Amino acid sequence: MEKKHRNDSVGLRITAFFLILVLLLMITSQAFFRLALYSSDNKIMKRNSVEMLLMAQKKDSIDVLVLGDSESYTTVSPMQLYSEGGITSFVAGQPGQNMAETLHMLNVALQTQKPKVVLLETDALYRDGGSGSGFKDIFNVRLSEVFPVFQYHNLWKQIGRKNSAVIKSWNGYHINYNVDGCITTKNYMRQTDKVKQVSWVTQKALGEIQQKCKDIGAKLILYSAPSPKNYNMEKHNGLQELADVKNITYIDLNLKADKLGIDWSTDTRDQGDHLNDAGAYKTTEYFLSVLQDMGLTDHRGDSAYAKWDTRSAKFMSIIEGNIAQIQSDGQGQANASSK
Amino acid sequence: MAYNQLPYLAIFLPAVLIAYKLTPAAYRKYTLLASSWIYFYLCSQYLLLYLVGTTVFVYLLGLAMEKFPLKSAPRKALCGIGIAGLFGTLLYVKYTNFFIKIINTIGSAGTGWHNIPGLHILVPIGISFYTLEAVSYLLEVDWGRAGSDHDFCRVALFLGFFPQTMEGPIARYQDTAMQLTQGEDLHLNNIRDGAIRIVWGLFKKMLIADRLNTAVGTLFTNYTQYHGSMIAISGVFYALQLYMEFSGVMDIVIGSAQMFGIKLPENFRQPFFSQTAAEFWRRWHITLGVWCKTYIFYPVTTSDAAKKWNKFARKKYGKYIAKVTISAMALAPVWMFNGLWHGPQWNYIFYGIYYLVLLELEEVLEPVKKGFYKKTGLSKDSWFWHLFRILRTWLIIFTGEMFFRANGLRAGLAMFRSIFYQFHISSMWDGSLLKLGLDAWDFAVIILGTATVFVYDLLKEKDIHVWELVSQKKTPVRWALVYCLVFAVVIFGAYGAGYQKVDLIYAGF
Repeated sequence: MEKKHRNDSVGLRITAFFLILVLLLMITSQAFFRLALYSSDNKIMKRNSVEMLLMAQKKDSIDVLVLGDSESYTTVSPMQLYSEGGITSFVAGQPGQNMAETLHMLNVALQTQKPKVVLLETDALYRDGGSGSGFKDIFNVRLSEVFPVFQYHNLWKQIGRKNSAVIKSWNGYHINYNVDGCITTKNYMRQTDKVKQVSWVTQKALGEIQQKCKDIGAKLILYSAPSPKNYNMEKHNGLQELADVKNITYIDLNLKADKLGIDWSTDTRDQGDHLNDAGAYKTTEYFLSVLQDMGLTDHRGDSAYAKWDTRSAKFMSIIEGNIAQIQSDGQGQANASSK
Repeated sequence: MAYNQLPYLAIFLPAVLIAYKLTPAAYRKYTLLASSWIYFYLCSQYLLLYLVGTTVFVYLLGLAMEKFPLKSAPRKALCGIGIAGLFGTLLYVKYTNFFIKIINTIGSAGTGWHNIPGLHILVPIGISFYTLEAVSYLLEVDWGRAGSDHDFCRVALFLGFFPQTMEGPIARYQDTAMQLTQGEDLHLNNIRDGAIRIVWGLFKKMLIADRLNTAVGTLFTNYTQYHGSMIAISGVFYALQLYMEFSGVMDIVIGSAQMFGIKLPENFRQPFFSQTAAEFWRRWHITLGVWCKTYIFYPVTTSDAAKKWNKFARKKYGKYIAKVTISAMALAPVWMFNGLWHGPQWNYIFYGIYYLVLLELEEVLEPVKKGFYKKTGLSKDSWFWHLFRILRTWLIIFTGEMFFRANGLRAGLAMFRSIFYQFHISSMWDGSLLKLGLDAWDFAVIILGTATVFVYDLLKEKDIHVWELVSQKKTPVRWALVYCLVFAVVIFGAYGAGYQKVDLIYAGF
């Protein structure tokens, strides 16, 4: 009897300890999440900043949502899509975004938006180092969803900070006009029958994304950014196979790089890993035609989107200058190498 | 699934605890073994076969050795075969490419053997650790200090118990084997104390070691861009990082085992309070030191050759020379082994030689030291000398760790040379430190975290055990302290966006 009483007491104490811990985690999570909503300091927010920008978008204003890792925000430029086609979009990509984070980002977007098209850049599909790593990613994301303090814990650094580095992003697109051309593209997309499989954990996450898109009536499109460093035919075969099985549209821009006019000596900022502004301009042009064919609304001139008109005009003037700069840099490099 | 990651702490460990609790006492050892092999599989997949193969090999050899009397030739031969097999495997998986590289280098100098291609060999996790444990078991059986174990499960757990898989501690068979198969019931006190120790380990690793990682990486990768004072700082930063990382992980490992009522040997005993290099190695990575002392140093000093030499040298050259030479005979293999054990890199070998020279110098200079104290009348126990000796040992440690972490021996030597020119102490306050990827807040956390660990270690040095004191406090105070520790890790830990946490350093050896 006494033993039972002691056991009950121990059980109660353990429960009380963990209940208080959970309560404290919830309180701190709320505090840090609220801090995050008002934080615009890129040095502290780092890759989390895009999530806050996404949440700050006007309700139901985004027609196209782009997801993925750094390949996503270097291939689609929302301001260009708007300027030239009136299509509203947001790139919710992060450096090194894995599929668990991609799914999380979609969930965040769906809290305030009803996109008609979701473009998913496929580099994220090969980000996990196997099923174990995929599970770890899912676990970490789920934990941060329940207790956001794990995601925004670093915001304590904002205390007393005066010179904050304000987030500079054009609806998720990051301006970059560096030129560092590819040394060689000899083996780029060389034919092979080999297939690089996508792990089943990632496939499951993709399945969830597909289902969520279906639920809101959005069309999911997989696309691969042109990148000799990240893509080859083995991956293309794996992705095409997966897209066929799941009945998802797949666009591999690596096979269209020549058609798009990608010049690997000038259109990349880091030897074929990512595109620069000149390269992204060309891929965005392509997406514009794809999205226009899908009959998305042209919001230009609509007073509700007046801000988009102003911002996109400003963006385009910057981008045109950058492209001119890239072309002159590229010409300079070409002259130097020919001497 | 490293020990500091949430999947281990929040899923794997609790799941094993529950499975262990639900298993009848007599079968708990099988639950532990299954969990350990699953853990190994999750880390190294099919390379688990190495561990299983080693276990079967060592188990069968132990049984075979039992059939022959102590000190008999067949028993010794079997032990020799075992040790050769174990070290042969270790050499093959870890050192083959190192030797191929050496052959190719020599070959390019004229012999024509310079085109041997490197092999792609996958290294199972923790092979350096369990191999030493396996050798320890065979030697203990050979020497008759432990009986051959008939329980396969016990041998398997001794070599593969999951908290020890990645970084040790390197236990001797007598230290842990019996505890592992006892099927001890779970006790709240053990779980509580183990959990607190785990959080303390996370505090050291996540607040200090992981936060320092960016600066350490920057300094060691771009060392040519920094002048002497910053290079000196790199040694300090790395020594601090390594201590916080390795001892922090050991806290997690020992805390995990403690939850099952299993007491693993300690690997650290406040090493930064050491007054000599020799003392440092009695306090730092203790289990490796004990292994080297037990299975290399003592066998060499008590060997027939050493005894004969001792007798001869005492007669011919006197006691001092005999002592110094015997010490050199035993220390040389110990430190060559220590350096090589860390991996196939010249800077690790240099690191071993560095300590060999320093320890031998301590032996050689012993009479000079005694003479100094006698002549000056100074007491080596005075606080001034105490402090002086501690600071001198720090210099030795920081220099050694700089070579240890350097990207190769050449880089290490270049870094060492650069300390002696362009040494600007102003780097400490002119903003240079803030260009290493850390801001003032990061340094504030590192300093406060280190100060906390320093106070904890200082109290422990004085035999005051913080957690024992805490456990005597009333529940609200006790819980508040634990919550503070947990939230220090959650809020000030260097993880998530913008941080590159350091992988378990010793898991790579």
